[in-house]
Amino acid sequence: MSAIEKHDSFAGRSGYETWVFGILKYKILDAMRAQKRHGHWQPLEDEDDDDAIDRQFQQNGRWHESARPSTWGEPEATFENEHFWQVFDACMIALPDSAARVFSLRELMGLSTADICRELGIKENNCWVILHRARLKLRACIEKGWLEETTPC
Amino acid sequence: MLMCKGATRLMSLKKDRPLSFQERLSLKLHLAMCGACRECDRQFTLLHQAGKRFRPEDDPEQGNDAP
Repeated sequence: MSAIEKHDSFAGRSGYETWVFGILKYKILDAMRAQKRHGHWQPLEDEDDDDAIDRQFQQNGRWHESARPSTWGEPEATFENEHFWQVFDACMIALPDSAARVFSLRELMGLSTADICRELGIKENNCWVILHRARLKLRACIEKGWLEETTPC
Repeated sequence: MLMCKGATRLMSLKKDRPLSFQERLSLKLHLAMCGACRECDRQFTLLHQAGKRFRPEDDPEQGNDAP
């Protein structure tokens, strides 16, 4: 818990980043409160929901033509783009709760998958599968929302 | 042979744990011949870096993120 409270101290980020993080923090804290109440972490309800992933690949394991990743440009320029953070935020919120939880603990909080799995009472393998799906869903969502709305200047 | 879907699994995995020699080799071979997967790999890396920007300043790899 205190590891999360500590993150209140970050400063100097853009308004959107701050806002996104605020929402995610509450998403995680809510889940932790529920865990305390029920004595266990809420079940990872969408483990078998592979549809969004399967739509990105053909039967033979290659990318679907419509889902092939395109370039997002230089990371620094991307991070300066406020619209990127708006889409990032919308896509994080659109993630299934368990995926958003594990992704946030791993990538936003920087916890190891070993720690996350101990905390959540799931196998580390399960964690890696959830993160793989979360990353694929996020990348598809961001690419759709961001590149398609970006007007060339 | 490793296909794109399996390659994305390894790209994701390497953000969470070191890959074995065999895993690294098959990912490298796949990336060498698949442009779409190279983009996906960059996107996963960008998502990883995006997350780091939310962390406090105690992350040693965050040095070049300063505005």
